[in-house]
Amino acid sequence: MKKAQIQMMETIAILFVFFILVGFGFVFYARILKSSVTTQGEEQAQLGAIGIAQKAAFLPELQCSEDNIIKEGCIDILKLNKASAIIPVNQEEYSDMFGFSKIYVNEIFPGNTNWPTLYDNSPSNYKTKLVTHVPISLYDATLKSYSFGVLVVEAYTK
Amino acid sequence: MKSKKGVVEVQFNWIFILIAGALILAFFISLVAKQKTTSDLSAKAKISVDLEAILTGAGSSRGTVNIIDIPKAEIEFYCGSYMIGGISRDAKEIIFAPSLIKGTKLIAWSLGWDVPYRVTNFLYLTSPEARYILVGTGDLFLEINKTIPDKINKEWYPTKPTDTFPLIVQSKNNYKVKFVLFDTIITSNVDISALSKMPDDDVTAIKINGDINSGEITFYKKQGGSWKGTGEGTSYYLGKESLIGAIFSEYKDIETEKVYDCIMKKAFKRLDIVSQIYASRSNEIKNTVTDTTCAGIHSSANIDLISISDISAALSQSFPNTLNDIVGKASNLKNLNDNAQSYSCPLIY
Repeated sequence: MKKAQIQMMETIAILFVFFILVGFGFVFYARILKSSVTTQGEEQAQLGAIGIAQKAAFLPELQCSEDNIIKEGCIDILKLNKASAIIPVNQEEYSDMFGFSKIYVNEIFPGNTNWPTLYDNSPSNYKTKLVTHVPISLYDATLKSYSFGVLVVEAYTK
Repeated sequence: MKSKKGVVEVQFNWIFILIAGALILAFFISLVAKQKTTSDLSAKAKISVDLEAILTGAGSSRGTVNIIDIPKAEIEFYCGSYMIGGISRDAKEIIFAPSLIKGTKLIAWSLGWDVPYRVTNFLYLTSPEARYILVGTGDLFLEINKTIPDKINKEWYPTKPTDTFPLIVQSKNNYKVKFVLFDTIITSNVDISALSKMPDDDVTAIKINGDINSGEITFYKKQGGSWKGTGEGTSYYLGKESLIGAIFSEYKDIETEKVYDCIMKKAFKRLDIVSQIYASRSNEIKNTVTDTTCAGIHSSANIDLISISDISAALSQSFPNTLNDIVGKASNLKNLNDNAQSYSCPLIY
């Protein structure tokens, strides 16, 4: 083999090793990027779930009020009754707000009533399901009495 | 002297290095270019995700003003959606904003829309670089000026300019200027020749004709160094919250309708739903309470609430239209709620 040919082979070998190293670096970088994207996705899903719970808890369709002064953390059960019938009919209006989620209210004390589901747009196939429980008081305007319950928000990501 | 063979070898070596170098360079350049695109997209996606969180927070708590630092970006607002760097997102809140917000700061402010019961929160977004000029003297002018927070770039002129003694406005290099004219003041009473270099669409005015409860809004825009003679169109407001909505939004066409009208249609849809809920609540109370006075109050409330629901359902399809009927029913409801309180009945709202 001539000297020039050997030199050429050397150069090619160096280039080959160089590209292999670059390839390794690239694979390593892609893996880190993928893991970072997954973490970001999880964070976004959690943020979205909290956002939906926040919106549901502050929905004027449900909130208790006294002379239009809003009581936070309180749901009027007379409103809840009608809202659970009317929101599913107008699901399109609320799907922008609540996306893929299921929202319902459970009474915990003194009764143990499960109120009809307020909003249900849960997909059959989903990647994650995050459940948020918001403690609330339930107000009955006819009896002027309060009970204790939770607003349950199940947020899904596809 | 080198042999011919040696010369060829050296030249070939250089050509080989050149090709290999170019390939390596191209590889890294394409890597950097791809990374830049990904990073830009990721930054824009982050802004839109952050903005969504900001909007959720601002939409839930009324009356709060937040000045938010944002990366330098242009955010375009439409009816029910916004776009950042080509990425479009649906807005879940009712947002009144200029068609374009640019700069590094965003002002977010919200007010509850009460008709007379809370229907939803209106969210107002603007930039500190957008200028709002209020001109007038009456009660409505004072109320609106008092309501709009000082953090917003607003100027108020408690005067009544005329054609002979117009209000002369100087340029302050803002990218948008909005005039709000109250009382009998008309666009020709405001001299905007100093703003002639700004694009016509960025210098606009609204003329208010009404009171705190409801009224008519006429939209104007600049043409060269003066105002376009005829208005761009007319619409209506219900409550000062929707009037402020007209101040912050624009009267531009989105498909076949104006942005302000489109946003108000969404608000009336919510009013329809909330009114149905209150009507059903009053009906339930009427059927349950033993006191005949309370039953009577809730019976009347039920009728008014059903009317408001019907009217707002129609308005959610056909706005702009006069709102006098809703104003009348809302006033009745307020009186009925006061009566319910006087007689210790369950309140209507």
